[in-house]
Amino acid sequence: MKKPNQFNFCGNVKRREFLSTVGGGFPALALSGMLGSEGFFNQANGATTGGFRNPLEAKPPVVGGKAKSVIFIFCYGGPSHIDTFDHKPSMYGMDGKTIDVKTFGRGGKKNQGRIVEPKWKFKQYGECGKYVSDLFPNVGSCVDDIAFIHSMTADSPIHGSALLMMNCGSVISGKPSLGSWVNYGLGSVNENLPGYVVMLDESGGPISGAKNWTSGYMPASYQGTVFRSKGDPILNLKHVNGMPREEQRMLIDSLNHLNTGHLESRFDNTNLSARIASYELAYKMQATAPEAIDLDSESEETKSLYGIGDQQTDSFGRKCLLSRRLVERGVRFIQLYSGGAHNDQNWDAHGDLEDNHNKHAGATDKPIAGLIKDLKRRGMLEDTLIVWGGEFGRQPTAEYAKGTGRDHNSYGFTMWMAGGGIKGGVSVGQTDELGSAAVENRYHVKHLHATILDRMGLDPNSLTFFHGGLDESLVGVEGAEPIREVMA
Amino acid sequence: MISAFNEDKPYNQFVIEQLAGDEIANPTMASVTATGFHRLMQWDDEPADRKQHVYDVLADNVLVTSETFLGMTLGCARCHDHKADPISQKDYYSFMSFFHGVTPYETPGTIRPWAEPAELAAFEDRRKDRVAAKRKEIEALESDMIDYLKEVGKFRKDKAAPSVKTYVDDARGTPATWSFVTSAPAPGWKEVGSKAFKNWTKAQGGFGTRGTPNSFVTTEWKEPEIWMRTNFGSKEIPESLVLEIFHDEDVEVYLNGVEIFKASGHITDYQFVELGQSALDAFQTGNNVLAIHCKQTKGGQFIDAALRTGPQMPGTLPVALNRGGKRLEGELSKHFGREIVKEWREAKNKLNSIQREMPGTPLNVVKESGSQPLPLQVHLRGSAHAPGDEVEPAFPSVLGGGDSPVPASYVPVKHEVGPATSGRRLALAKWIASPENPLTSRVIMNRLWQHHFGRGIVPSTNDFGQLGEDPTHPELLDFLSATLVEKGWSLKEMHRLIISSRAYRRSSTPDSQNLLEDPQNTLFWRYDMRRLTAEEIRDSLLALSGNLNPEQGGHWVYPELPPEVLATASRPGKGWPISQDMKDQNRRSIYIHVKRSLRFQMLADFDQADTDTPCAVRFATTVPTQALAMLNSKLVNDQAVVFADMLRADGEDDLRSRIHRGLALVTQRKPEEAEVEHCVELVERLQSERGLTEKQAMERFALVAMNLNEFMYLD
Repeated sequence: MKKPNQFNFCGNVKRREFLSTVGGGFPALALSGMLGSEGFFNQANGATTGGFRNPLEAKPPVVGGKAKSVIFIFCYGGPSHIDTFDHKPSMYGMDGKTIDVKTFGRGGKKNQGRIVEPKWKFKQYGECGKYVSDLFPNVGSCVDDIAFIHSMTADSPIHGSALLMMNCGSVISGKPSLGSWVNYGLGSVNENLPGYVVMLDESGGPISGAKNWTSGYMPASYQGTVFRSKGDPILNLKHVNGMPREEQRMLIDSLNHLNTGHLESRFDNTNLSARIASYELAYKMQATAPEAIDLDSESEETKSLYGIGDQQTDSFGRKCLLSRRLVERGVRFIQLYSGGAHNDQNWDAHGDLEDNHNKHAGATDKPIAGLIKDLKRRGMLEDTLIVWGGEFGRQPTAEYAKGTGRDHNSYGFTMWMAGGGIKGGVSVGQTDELGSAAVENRYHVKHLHATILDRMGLDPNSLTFFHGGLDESLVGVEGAEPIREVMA
Repeated sequence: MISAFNEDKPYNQFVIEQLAGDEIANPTMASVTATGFHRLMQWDDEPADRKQHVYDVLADNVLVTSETFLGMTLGCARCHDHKADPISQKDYYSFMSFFHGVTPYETPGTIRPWAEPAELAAFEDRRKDRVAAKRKEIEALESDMIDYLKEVGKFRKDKAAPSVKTYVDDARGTPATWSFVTSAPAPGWKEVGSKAFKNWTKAQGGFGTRGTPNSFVTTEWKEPEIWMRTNFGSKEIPESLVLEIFHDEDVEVYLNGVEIFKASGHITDYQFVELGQSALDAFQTGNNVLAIHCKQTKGGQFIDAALRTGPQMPGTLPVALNRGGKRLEGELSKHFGREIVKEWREAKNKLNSIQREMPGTPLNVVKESGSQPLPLQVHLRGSAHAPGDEVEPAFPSVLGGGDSPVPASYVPVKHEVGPATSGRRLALAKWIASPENPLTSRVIMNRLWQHHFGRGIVPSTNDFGQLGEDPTHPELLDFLSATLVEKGWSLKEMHRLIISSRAYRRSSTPDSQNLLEDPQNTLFWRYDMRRLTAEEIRDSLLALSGNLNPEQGGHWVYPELPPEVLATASRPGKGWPISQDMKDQNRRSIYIHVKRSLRFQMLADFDQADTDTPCAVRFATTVPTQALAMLNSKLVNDQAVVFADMLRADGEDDLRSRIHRGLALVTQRKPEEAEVEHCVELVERLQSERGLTEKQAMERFALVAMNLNEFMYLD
């Protein structure tokens, strides 16, 4: 086993070397190392000094992780836990009753509210007998593979800061996102695709946009790449006015020729050779990325498993199937957004709860279940960690005098995980009988992050990056233990 | 910033203006603008924990100021003593208290118009005349209306129109609940965060003795003095504010601790007071406190007040007419005719706009909540909800501060516009900018060195502490810093000195023996090749094609962003209004608007600094997406077309000469014969083998040239 601090640049290398190389671009050095394995410029690789491990090169996990990739299904806006997976039987029949309950959402702190009883019926599923609401009958059929965490808590019940918390571990912006940490820790096994992919909703990004997939104080090479399931998957993948591949090859050959001449008298500069090689990678990526999103090679049966072809589920189904294909191609971290923009374009059900959740659950239930089943039958589920949830849950009471809308709730909500290294058919933690707050085995977002890192084979408390005088980590200076009850 | 560096503003003065350009003697537009520095800190428009967020913002002030000017990572001591450097948590909060009065971004009064005093005086003179003339016009129209409304009994009884928002109502309506005392409270009683009033009596407004003429007494008040306060919340800052007050002999009214009204001598009815800009400046989103101190010596007594948004049509009329809004307008139209009422309304709108006109240039600047910031305590474990010992402003102990009393060195500063400030920032700025400060001159000279050589003498430019790096050439840094002070803190002199040095003029050529002995070039035996920065890449591309607009100053620009990038925003397309003028689009990259949640993609891909935290040394990554951007993007290809057209249009008309010129422009040297030959062949083959036109083939050559390592890297 490697020392845990292998991921801390500064634990491995003298800080002086680190900093002096940063100016010249250590990821460039790293890239030349990576290209070495591809057969390009082995000599350049030989000139690499400083003892760096390649941040982009695939690295072995530290703590014997079970998962190789993460698919994070982000239900932006905050799905209501008591209407989906957190069964509250005693609430039925209480609709309209005013009760004392402490809540905190965008409408501020309240001590009293009018109950909106869960608007869907719950049924038991699977061998574990898990209760799931009628919003998710298909996911219900997968519960024996799922671990539910019903006692999640977060620091903020407001979208902007709560999104940052769930994605980057802090309500304050400027920190790298979870996907950046995973790629920093593990690298990517596919050189022809980004290691960290984000797929957004057609209606738009989440609040704060790119901050949610930023690499923060880490190098830009760890930032999430926005991937589209239709058209050109990656920005600039095609020439703006179109250019035949043969023509581009001529240009790159010409460029290589001139650059090689330039390199002759600068033989020791690995940045230059890395840059030459990056054009070869770009050239290959242009072929690989469209192939990755081309769903034509999938069987009709597979497509319908994901709900592709059905208007309601087609869009999210494509993203889920695309996620599987990206996982097959070694992409480390994939984040799928269910919902975008503002208001009812996402799970933010302030107005008509039923309308909102029927829409978003309806668009995602079958695709998500399809993803789990497809991964499972292909033997990929044990290597793939699926995470489902939003930035918070919703309140048991109504937000306004009239209607069924629920305000935000970060005092208690549900997230679930499935696949790589996760025990199926378990439920951990509890909220009170209204679902207003976590009361048993309370977990914080940082415990969820710790669990994800752990399952990926990274020690959440040793995975650090030196910045601004601190060894920063995703789970914060005080550290966090993974949620052991959900771990297989 | 740009003009400060161009004018070679002495660096010590630069530092003072960044931190306290409003507090210096004779502030200028430039020095006040510089305090926009404090407006760049972290900002959450709807924080879950408001109190903690106030300190998250201030923590950014501490972190940025200490790393930028002092090369100290003070930020590490927010939750506990610094793990490596001799900086205690108390030092941290003592340092923070220099900024404790600074209000966060987007609080009222931070956008302030700037006008030179003479300009301002002339403007206000003109305004006075214009207002008087307009008022006269309105009064003439109104006098008949008032008579009529009195006649029909509608003059007084109308309730507030929906457009008027009442924050605090008086006893004529639904009186607000006030906390009050009748003997002098502790200082700070009128401030927002004060806890002094916790034990005060609570009662509904309308304090006085029954029988006082015209009064609406709800709660008895017989003592000679009263101090009273009430809270109200608001989600937004109103456009205007009105105080309706019925007071006894002497009265002072405060909003969030700032005096907004003062009068002596009693009055016998509610008075309608249009509050000015200073009241609007004091108003804040979230919790507000309206506080009143009133005195009386004899006779009946009464104090009551309401605070509302201004009427939709402010003017000279008593409030009832204004508050009647549209409904009264209808009534008046019937009686006087539409034209008259329309004329009246337009005159009032005009008056309103005259009163709101801002002279000069709007600036986003620092503002403090008053001359005496609230006390600050150490926050245990960094939590604003766990206050420890109180601290006073003090410089870090390790630099000779600690318990040394700084308060003696500052006094509150009054300003022409806006409330007084504490003077604390000026005290801090002067200390940082002092030649005796051991860090300031070294830190800036180290940065200059870094930007010329690619690496600082202390490689960790933001951290001169234990976790940073030792200087490779300490005597050199001492010399540079002493010379800077000697040369009157002139950075241009220092650039000249560095650039004319032998060290700077060394080539980047490798040398086998030196590579063996000093592979990292620690000793600066050669120039370290470096990739152009993100901004330099874009600017160089524009410069090659001749499109670069070198204009200085002015408003920022929004160059075109690909629709795919705009689609990542939660309101796709909003917040990035693409500049319509191509000249604006082609301005230098430093003038591109920096939006924290929507980055200019090409710059972000080439390692432009993160927008949230200080960046001492940029990364210089090499990844395939950069190659994709350089080969395929609209931005680069547009410039390739212009560059190719330029080579074809001017001068030589044979291909070889055009290629020769193109390569010379890209590499800034005489091209080798073989290189020219290779590119000529490329252009010819693109035509013969790919069927491109001569123009298209030249555009491809231009694209290749722009992608050369030699273009992207400096020797």
